[in-house]
Amino acid sequence: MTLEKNREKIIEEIKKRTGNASDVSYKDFPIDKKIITLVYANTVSSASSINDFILRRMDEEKNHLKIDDLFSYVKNYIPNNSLKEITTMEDALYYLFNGFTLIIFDNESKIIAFENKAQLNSPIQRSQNEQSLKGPSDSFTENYETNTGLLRKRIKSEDLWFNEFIVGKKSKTKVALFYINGVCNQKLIDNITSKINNIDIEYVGSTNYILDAISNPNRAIFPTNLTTERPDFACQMLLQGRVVLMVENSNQVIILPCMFIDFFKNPDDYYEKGLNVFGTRIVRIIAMILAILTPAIYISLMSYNLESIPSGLLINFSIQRDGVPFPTVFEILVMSFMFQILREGDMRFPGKGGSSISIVGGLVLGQAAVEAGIVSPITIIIVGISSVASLAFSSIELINSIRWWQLILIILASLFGFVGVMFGCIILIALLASHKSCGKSFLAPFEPFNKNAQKDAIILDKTSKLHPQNVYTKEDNDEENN
Amino acid sequence: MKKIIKILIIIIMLTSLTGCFNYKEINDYAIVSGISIDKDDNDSDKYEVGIQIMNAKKDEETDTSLITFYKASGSTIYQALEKIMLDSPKELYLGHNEVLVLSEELLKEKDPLNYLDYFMRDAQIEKDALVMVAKESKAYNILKVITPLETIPSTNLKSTLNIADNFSGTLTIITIDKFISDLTNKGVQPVIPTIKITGEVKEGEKMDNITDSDPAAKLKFDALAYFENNKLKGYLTNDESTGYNFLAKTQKETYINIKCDEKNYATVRVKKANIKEETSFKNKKPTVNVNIGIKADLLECNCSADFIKDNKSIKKLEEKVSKKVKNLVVKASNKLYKENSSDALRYGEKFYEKNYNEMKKLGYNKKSIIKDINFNFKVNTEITSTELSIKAIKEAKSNE
Repeated sequence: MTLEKNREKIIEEIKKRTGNASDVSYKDFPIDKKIITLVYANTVSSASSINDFILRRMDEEKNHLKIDDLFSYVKNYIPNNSLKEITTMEDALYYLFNGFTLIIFDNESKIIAFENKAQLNSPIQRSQNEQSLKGPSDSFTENYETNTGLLRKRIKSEDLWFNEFIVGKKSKTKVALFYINGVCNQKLIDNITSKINNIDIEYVGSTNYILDAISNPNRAIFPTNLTTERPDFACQMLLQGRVVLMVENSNQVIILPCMFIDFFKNPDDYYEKGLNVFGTRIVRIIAMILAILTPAIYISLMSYNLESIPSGLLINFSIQRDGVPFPTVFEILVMSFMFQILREGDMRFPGKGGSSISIVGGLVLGQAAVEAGIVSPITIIIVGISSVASLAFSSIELINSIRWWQLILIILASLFGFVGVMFGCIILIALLASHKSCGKSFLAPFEPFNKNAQKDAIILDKTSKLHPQNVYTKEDNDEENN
Repeated sequence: MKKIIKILIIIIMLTSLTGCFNYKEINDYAIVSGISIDKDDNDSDKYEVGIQIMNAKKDEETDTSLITFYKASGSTIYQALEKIMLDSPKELYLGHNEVLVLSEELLKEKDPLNYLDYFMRDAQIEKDALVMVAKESKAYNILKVITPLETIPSTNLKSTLNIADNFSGTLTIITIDKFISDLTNKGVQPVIPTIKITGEVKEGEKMDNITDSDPAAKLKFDALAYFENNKLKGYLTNDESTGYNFLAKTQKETYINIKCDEKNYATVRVKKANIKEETSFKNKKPTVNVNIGIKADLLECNCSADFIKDNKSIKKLEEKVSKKVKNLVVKASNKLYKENSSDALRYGEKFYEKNYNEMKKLGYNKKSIIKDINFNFKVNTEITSTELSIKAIKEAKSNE
């Protein structure tokens, strides 16, 4: 809706649309015979900057302002780094609640907006969820401009490009798509751009809203995107030809596309020796296998395939299980459920209460359950192994999917023994292989095999760190969009 | 949504209303670790089967498992096992059986093929269990003796035999499936280790046996037993057993003692023995030429010798070792082929494979050829290392 050429009508319209909000201030400023009105939302704008840079300036310049062309004078001579000329009511309201001060003139169908944003953001802090030993420890904040700055600070090349979008009918959140011009594949950018343009949601709370809106209904439970709060990791990924999605008011960014192997990478990998990284990645892969398979294999061994246990171990198992009245499946399910409750409690409980929960849960519950004969000690060990192994990953989505697959395999193992476990593994691998992330195969670079990309897969070659190449999103291994 | 609910109901019904195929918790089983078969003294057609169960109950003090023993007799092995199952509160699990002890008496009287069928037919039963013969006592007594180092007798037997197989030349291990396949193979006869109890059998059954520093009853492996016509014929001596292991190529590490001067002895360890055999008909008589090439280490030498200055001294030792080994294999072949006709070394089969035409021409078959075989042995020894010292300590003293 275009603006009318009447100051009072514009103000009336704003009042009407905002429901006469009490935090919107209207200040008339008489100059000669004319009156201009300053409109600003005092909750998101800085009062001192309005006083210092607009009101005082206009007061000083009163004499000059008595000329006829008041509009162009204000536009040209009031100093401000961010000035907008507004012609529609929608824009006016958007900037009003973005911390701008609107200046409304008589007989003018344009509004001038000056930026006087209040700083409502937390400062740059150390990364909490992805801690770093050797690398830089700053992390993204909730401030969109700061976040952009953190990326620009690291990649000063003019090739760091980004497209900006406004998403959310009510929240009007800024979303930016970062990529390196000339490295990233244009098709991928177009694909993601069109997806973001088609988003139709009311409110964007965090990066996760965007992820849910652009990802297809996910058949398998494994996540097909990577979120990080480390700007250094985001830059490394940008240089590998991926795109980074940044969402206003969120301290995490999304990296797309994301392969399965990326969950085994850690930002700190790039600050360590390649050989050590190889070791830790192997450890992470084994941790994943252990986390998913240990309870299932234990159940099938104990309930179906006794002959595969060495006899010495069999005697131990059999003595320890002596007097436990429940089936092995029941034991495992109870203990893993208890562990999940503990974990949930530990995470949500505020402050220092967490450690007392783990003492009560870990020591008292575990020890007492064994002594009471409800579970056997070996069960506690098995649940412990799989739980600890699942915590080797920082991505909460991945941990959740590991939990699901643990459960699925436990059920299959309890029904069909080893055959069931093997069946479950085949399904798991098939699902992983059928996954797509932005049209790229999820199991890349192993399937389809890409020799070049092996340099930053399980092994980390020095050359891929020092001269990152676009190996994932290059045109020649591009596939159909999912 | 309705579909999901339906599927959920089906899954719940499947898990709660039906049993799971083959589902059995570990503590529903009594794990059998050893089986013994004896002749029933009251009824000669029946067999007395003893089983040892290794997870009977938990010893609260040491946290180890205690064994228990059951015995029953039946016309078939399974009938006896079934009788035991009626007595025991748990189902027998034979998948981890470690030893099969057969009694001397039964092996001497009956072909084992008459009663071992169950061990090959049952899918669950362990076919890798070791076979041995109980000498001078009932087979089930062997399973009752508790020994200090390993509280479970069957595990004790198995590991002792495995160690002995690796570090002495006199024993060899044979599993149930190998034993049965040797028996079913016409002409070939198996050789199995023997086990006997030394000391008081009655004392060995008690838990006190393991608390004494010198237990009243001990289990002891003896040399090998050989068969003729699928029946136990007799026992080899230790020397013959060593010789047998050389010829059967089953020796791993063998220690050989030789006299190096009038009173003193030396020991060598045979690391590797290269055995080449050749079967032929010389003057229409079946002949086997065996070349044994031995590589050995000198482990102990109690005679005076300096291996650097006098290079003849090591030659002398080598010759003596060759002579000794030749003596061992001659003894073994004489016992098996001349005195008895037990083709434990499969020469009948080897002639049949390689010299079939001549064998037919001269009217021999796999069995009849055994008695006529002539053996020619040639042993060549090389002592490759004298370990840490290059001369004997005796020599060092005399030099001063």
